[in-house]
Formats: sequence, structure tokens, C-alpha cells
Amino acid sequence: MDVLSNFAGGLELALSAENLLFVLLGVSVGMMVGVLPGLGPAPTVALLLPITFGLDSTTAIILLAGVYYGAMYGGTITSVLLRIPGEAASVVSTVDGHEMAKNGQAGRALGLAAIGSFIGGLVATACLILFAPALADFALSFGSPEYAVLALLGLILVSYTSAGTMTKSLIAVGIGLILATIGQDPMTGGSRWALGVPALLDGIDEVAVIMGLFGLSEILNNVADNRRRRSSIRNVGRVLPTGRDLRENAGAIGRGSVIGTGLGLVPGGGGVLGSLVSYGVERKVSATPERFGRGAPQAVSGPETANNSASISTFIPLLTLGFPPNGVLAVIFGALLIQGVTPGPTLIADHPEIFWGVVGSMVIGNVMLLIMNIPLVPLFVKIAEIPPEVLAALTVAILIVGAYSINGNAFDVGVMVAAGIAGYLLRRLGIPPAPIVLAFILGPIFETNFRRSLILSDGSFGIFVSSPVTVVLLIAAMTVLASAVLPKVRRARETIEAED
Amino acid sequence: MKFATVAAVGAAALVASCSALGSEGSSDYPSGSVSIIVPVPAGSSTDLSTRVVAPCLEEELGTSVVVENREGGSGAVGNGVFAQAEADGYTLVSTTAANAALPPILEGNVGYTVDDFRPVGMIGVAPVVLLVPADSPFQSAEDLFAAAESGTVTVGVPGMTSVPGISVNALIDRTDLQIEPVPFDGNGGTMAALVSGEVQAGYMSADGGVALPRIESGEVRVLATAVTEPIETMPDVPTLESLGYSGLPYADSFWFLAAQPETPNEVVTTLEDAMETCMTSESIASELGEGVAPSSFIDGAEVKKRLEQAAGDYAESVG
Repeated sequence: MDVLSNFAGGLELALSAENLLFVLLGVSVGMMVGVLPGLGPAPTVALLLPITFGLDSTTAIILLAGVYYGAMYGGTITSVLLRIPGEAASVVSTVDGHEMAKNGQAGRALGLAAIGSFIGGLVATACLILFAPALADFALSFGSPEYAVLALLGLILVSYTSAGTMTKSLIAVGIGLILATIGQDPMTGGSRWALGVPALLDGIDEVAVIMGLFGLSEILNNVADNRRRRSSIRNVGRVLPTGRDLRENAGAIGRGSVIGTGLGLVPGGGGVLGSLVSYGVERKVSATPERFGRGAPQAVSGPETANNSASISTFIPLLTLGFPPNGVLAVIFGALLIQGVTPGPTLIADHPEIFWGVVGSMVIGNVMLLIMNIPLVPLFVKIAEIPPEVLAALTVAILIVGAYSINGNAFDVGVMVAAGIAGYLLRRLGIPPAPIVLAFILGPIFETNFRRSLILSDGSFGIFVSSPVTVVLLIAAMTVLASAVLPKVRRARETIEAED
Repeated sequence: MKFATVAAVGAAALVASCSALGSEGSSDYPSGSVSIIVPVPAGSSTDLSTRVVAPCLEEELGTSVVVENREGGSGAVGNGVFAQAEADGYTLVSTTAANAALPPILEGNVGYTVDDFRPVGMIGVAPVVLLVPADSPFQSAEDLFAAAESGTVTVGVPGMTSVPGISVNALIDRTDLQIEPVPFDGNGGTMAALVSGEVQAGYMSADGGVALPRIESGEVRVLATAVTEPIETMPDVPTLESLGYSGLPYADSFWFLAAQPETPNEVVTTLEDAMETCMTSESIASELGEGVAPSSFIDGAEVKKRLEQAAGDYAESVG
């Protein structure tokens, strides 16, 4: 089998001393930022970007991917023990997970989450192996109209699925779209909003924006809240789940794997979306829905499985279509570009070592995380106790150095700081940063391909219904739009929001 | 991988050693490290070829040579930093003619003009070529132009304000051809659209990274070149001029090393001598790739002449 031998080659590459070291480094850093509230995977991946400049491209992506799925494991720990989400995708675990912890079942919650994450990770990796090459072939048939409609669907999903009210998500999307128009007009080459500043001719750097919006604004937010984090849980309890636990949670873990893998593929998807949907589904199928909110294990195992599998399947659209579905993958997209590799339909054919090496590292990384999670839980509890003022000062320093090192340009530091302050103010208004960044990335993809399609079709909109792919995507987009305004679905959505 | 390549290239250049010793100029230049600003991202063809030449310059000048990427503004940021630096030979730039000439034409005041470059030698050239996919019905440029007389032919270009974009617009202006230029994202995007059949033809520079490998593999065919002289490595490819389309803007994409105009003459001579030794070294020519490295050294004065001609042509076509 071609797939098997390729996979074996990838595993071998991932097992080289250097790559093994960077998988371990990636997942350990990921675990830690997952544990630490404030630092999520997106800013961390951005922070690590300069380190990857000197690495082999496969090793670079192995490191950054490890941080992402490592954070999915780590985030659970803070959510369960401290009732503070270590990162956004673990928000749902703050409810039932923390209830379990108060009942002396912290270990049980964390153990189930770790095993669920492991299984979900393997399922998503298997999909990456089996379907990504096929998806890549399919992606080659993606022309400008297909990309335009896909980006449109992505923009609609981003506005619909983000945390916060729809109105505020739409405002965020609008801000992202406007920011994206800064720089050269992609069709005519004329400058827009450059204000005579040469540094603005290419637009503002997306990595600097991400570092500011996610990293700096989060720190400002924490400082403003003067958040004190003190562990209230002394008794962690048994970490390894019993056979009965596993039987009771098998369904939740299985469903979580499928939901997470599927939602990772969607533009705007990823761990946050996966865990929210899994929580909703588990409550729906549960025989005892009244236990949800009072420490139901399935409310932890399902979502935690989903967020990890989603974090891995998000690599499918990046590696096959060149589409980063969320902020973390957008940074990884940038890392590949810096390495001189353009993610897109030809990536697997042109750079098989990157694709298969990263896939191999995901299997190894998930095994490492499972091993790390179970015995190291008490240790990670300590890390969450670093004084916030120390953590904040350190992170700001790292962000400034990181922003400067993107292009060796002080202008990007300014962009990062401005984005951080703006992001903080917007958060205070309840406007989430994620849709801004996603619209900032999807906007130019939509604009360029939309306008290019119209040039190719000589101005006829018929080009957008000329292939089965565009028709299916357009129907999906309209369905999402319709469901956003239908009262029944809107109520369901509001219920999920209320529980965030 | 990129760094491994650069390191390997560096080692190769050292082993092959650019024989002659540094020039015996009376000045004590260089007495410190020299930095070469590359105004485009690391990994681009200008960047990579500069990194191929830098170790040899280091050897020739007897001092460390640091390649620094200062990207942004289609080259405007890095070129601006270079233009404002001290004219002492310690801050040089490696830039394409398009990056040197176009931002001031398109944007006005960007902190430099095309007169702010005193070239000391050519690094690489990539002629603009007209490409079709292997399975295209167009067997020759005549076929394609005949089709463009009776109906629309879509032609992918790597951006409207790229050299090919400007050149194709000039072609449309000067003829009745119904060519529809479609801008894509760089040479990579243009090539992808060409190979997948989204556009009927592509008009782009024959660069070593994207175009030359696919021309060699037969995925695409070269129908014509927009430069005035036939390409040395592709002597059978007709020029557009020979097909009766003359008066087109300068269509050789080229990149060169430059100092500031006020740089002392002896410093410029030292640099030019070093460049001549490096650019005529066989190991460097083979690292740069056949069809990219000039077959003989093109000195500063000649580069300057071509740069001025290109800038004049661009200004006329865009303005």
C-alpha cells in the first residue's frame, strides 16, 4: 500500500532525533500554554515562529502542530482544577469538569479527557492520512470561483459560530474585512489606505495582528481583571479511569471524534467549535440530561475529545487547499511561506516529507501527551500558580521581540501593540478577536478570487453556479444564513451561548 | 532545509574558492562587516541568489557579508532603508529592477527614486516568456495571436504591476488583440492556474524556482519571449519583436547589487571587482542555475543603463 509505506516513511522521519526532540518540545510547550490561562495556542505558535526560521520546514511544522494539539490537552487541566479555561476550546469543561473536581473526581475528569483526546487525535490523524491525499486531488480542481464561494461560506460560518452575539461577531468580521483591504489592490496593484507609508503598501502583517489581538489583548484583559489564580483543589483523586468509566464514555468519545474531525475541516472551525457542538450533542443524547452542569463525565470526555481531533483535522484544509481554517493554522501557513513552501494543492506531491513527517509526528505527539498527562497532573497544577504579574511582564517582552522578528521591522511592533490595545477595547465591548483575524485572512481570499472569477467570466455571475462544487458550497452557505435567522435555531444557539 | 541549502552553497563556494584576492585599492575599505539588504522575503529568488553570491563576496572582500531581509511595500521598505543609509559601501542592496523602479512610479514619494542606485554588477536575469500548458491547442505564438484576433484569450500574469503585467498591458494597448489579462498571486499562482487550465496562457518571468523546472519537465511550453534578443538557453523561442510586436517595455526581469550614488569611486571599484570575480565563477553560475546567471559579467554601468531604460519604459506604460 502506497499510503502505508508513505506513513511508515513519515513515522520514521518523525522518529529522527531532531524531530523527536521538537515534537516533545512542541507538545510540552503546548501543554504548558494550555494550562496557563491567558496564553492560548494562537499567540504561542506566533511567538515560536521566529524559532522556526532556522529549522528544516518539516521540523518547523512538527513543532508548531505539537503546540496546538498539546494545548488542547493542557487546557483541560486549568478548566477542571481552577474553573478558568486554560484556552478557549476548554471553556465547556469549566462547568462539569470543575463540578467533578469539587467532588474529589478531578483525576477522573482529567484521565477521561486525556484518553478521549488521545483517541480523537488518532481518529483525526487517520482521516488526515486516508482522505487528505484524495482531498488534495480534489482541491486541484478548485479554481477561482470555487475558492470565492468557499471563502464566502467561511465568512458566514465565522460570523455565525463565534462566541458572543451574532451582531458582535458581524462587527468583528467587518473590522477584519476592512483591515484586510489595507495595502495593494490585489487586481490592479493600486494602493489602498496606505497613507503614503511604504510599510503599509503590502498591507499589515497578519502575524503581528494575531499576536496583538490574541496575545497582548489577553494579557491586558487579565491585568485589568486583576485575576488571582489560586488552586482550590487539593485532592486530585484517581487519574486512571476504570473499565466502567471507559464503557460509559465510549459513546461520547466516539461521537466527539467524529464531530471534532468534521468541524476542523470547516473554515472558522477548530477546537472551540468542536467542543461546543460536542457538548450540545452529548446533552441531547444523554439519558440523564439533568446531570449536565452537575459533573457529568460525558460533558468532559466528549468535548475534550472533539477539541483535540478538530485541532488535528484543521490541518487538512491547510495542507490540501492552502486554506488556514483558524488563527493557529494561519500562523502555521505563514511559517510554511517563510520556509519557501506555499501551502496548496501541490504541497503533498511537492513536499511529501512535510506532509508525512507531520502526520507521523502527530501519532507520536499524541502518545507523548497521553503519557505526560496521566502522571504529571499534580505538577501542572503548580505551573498554573505562577504569579500573574510575572507571567504578564514576561509575555509582553516575548511578544515585542516576536513582532520585531517577523520582518526585522519596528513597524510590526507598532502594529502588534495597536492590535493589542484595540483587541482589549473590543473585548471590553464584547467583540471577540477570533472573527476579526479570520475575516482578515478570508477577506482577501474572497476578494481576489471573486474579482478574478468575474474577469474570467467576462462579468457574468453564472461562473459561480457553473460547477457542482460551487453549487454545493452556495447551498451550504445559504442554509447557514437561513438557519441564523430562523427563530428555533436561534434559540438553540442562544442556549449554548448562555452556558459558555 | 533552506538553511541547509544555503550552508551547503556557502561551503561549495568556499571550496571552489573565488581565486583572486581582494582588489588592491588604496582605501582601507572594507574594514568592517558589509550588509546586503534584500527588500523581499527570505526564500524568494532574489533572496536565494543573493545568498549564493554572498559567501564569495565575503571571501573577495575579506570581511563578513550579512544578507538582511527587509521586506514590505513591494520592495519599497528595504530599498528605502538602503537609500537612506550612509554611502560608505557598508550597506548595499540586492534588488530587482521592478522593485527599484516601480514603487516610486506607482506610489510617488517612497523615500527613494531609481536614481538612488549605483549598480555594481548583475546577479541574475529572467526573461519574460509566453507559456501555454502542454496540452494547449496553441502550437505557436502565431496560433495564439490568431485566436486572440477572433476571440478572447485569457492570459495569467503574476500581478498587474509586475513586469509581465505591465508588458502585457502594453501589448494590448498597441494591438487589437483580445487578450484578457488575469492577475494571480506571483509566479506560483500563475503557474498553478496555467497548469490546471484556468487560463489559456501565462505571461511571466522564466525564473529558476517556478517556471524553468516546468518548462524543462514539459508541463508547459514556451511560445515566445518578450525580450528583444533571443534567450541564450532557448534559442528557438521567437521574440515578440520578431513576430511583429515591437515597442514593448523592457521585459527582462533582472536583479543586481548596488551601492548609493555618493559612494566613493574606489569603494565602488572594489565592489565591482569582487562582483566580477564572483559572477564569473563557475560554481556560482551553476548554483544560480542555467538561464538565471548571466553568461558573462554585466558591470555596473551596463546594469545602470538597463535599469534606466526599464524605469523609463515602466513609467511610460504605467503613467
